[in-house]
Amino acid sequence: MDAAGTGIIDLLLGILMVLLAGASLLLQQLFRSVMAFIGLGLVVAVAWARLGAVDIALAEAMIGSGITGALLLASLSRMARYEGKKSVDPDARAAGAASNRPGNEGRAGPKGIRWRGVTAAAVLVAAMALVFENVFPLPAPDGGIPDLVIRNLPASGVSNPVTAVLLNFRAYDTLLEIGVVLLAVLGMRAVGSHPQFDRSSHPEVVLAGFYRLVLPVLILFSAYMVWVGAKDPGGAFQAAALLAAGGIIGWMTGTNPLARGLPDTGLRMMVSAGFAVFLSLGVLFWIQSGMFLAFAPVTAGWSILAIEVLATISIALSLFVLFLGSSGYPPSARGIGPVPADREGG
Amino acid sequence: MIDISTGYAAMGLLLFAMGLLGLVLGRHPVRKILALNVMGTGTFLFLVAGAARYGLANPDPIPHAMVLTGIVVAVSATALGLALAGRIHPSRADTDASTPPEESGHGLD
Repeated sequence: MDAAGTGIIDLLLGILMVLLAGASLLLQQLFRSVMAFIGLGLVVAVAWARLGAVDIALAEAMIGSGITGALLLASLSRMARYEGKKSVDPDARAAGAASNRPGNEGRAGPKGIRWRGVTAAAVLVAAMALVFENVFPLPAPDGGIPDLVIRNLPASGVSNPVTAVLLNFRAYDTLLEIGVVLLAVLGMRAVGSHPQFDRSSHPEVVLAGFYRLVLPVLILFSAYMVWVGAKDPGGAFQAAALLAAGGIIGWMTGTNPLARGLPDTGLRMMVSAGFAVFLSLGVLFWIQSGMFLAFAPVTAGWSILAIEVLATISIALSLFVLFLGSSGYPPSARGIGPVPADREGG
Repeated sequence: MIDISTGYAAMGLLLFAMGLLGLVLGRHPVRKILALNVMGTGTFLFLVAGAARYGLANPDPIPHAMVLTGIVVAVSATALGLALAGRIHPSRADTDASTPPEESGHGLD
């Protein structure tokens, strides 16, 4: 199929994107901005599907929109909680009044800011036009890299080209990416989280029932995602996002899914398992074939599956721990999460 | 009629520019992090639009894989950024130096 033209739906998607992006940047209340951003993620997910990128559509809807949105909301509510508590003492109230309501920005500054904005916008538009002029429309090189991928697909151990690139041809990127996730967890741990937060002890009955129903489905579906990633859109990241979403819903019902049955060392090991196994397999193949991360075609399929399963567990736990960190929930005695406020003495 | 890949590439550039503006001009750290994410979305859109030049049935899988990686890295960075923002928040550091004095000066009265 040759590159298709844009249709009405693309036009609508484009308009929606600009409106939602504008709303997420301009709305006074940050809560509404975050809502607009979540909407933007969903609209963009449809655009991915339009562009034939179903893998990314899944990831965008789950991670870019869902998990990121949850992180932002959790963080906002923590800030609001803090300011609510703080406003009890008069000094703080005076300071708080200056920057109006929690989670809100102060009013946009006077003319200075607006002029700066206009100037910056003009410069940016010019720069973007220049980029656009020079980069698009580039002719698609004949065959080129996509052909190379398709030709070598049989040796990759999987039949979904995106998975083949992610976990075989450019496995280095993905290894480092899992490393970045791990680093974020470590960073979160180092930063700690401050105010002790009294989570509502009245879990929603309906939500709790929903959680009980939906959790097995999420687990099953994420296992399917990992498995199907070898030949169709899906894979570790999407699967991990589903599991993490399960954890977040569980948290909303008032249960910390990590609080039961998992010792701290176990949690730490599981958070780093994906990276560790990926790295050791890479080194193993290095010893075997003289090239880092060069999977042997015979065992590539199983290696990739092993990495994907462990990466799913690690990334899911990492995302959940990152969420807990953003929400400031002290996972008592869970070493990996943020440190409870009373322990850090602040 | 505009080519679909060109159209979405322009869209990606526009989102990137909007995000960059928000990043520079926004004052609340959460706003800045949001803006960074809008920039990321624009970048991803640009990359995937580029991949679609090969036709929608057989797009270039390499930008796709890069964008998938990017999405996960973005969410990690967002989480860490929010943790840092939460950390500096209580000290009122969320209103940066550009805060007009009439807004930050109340504490002195």
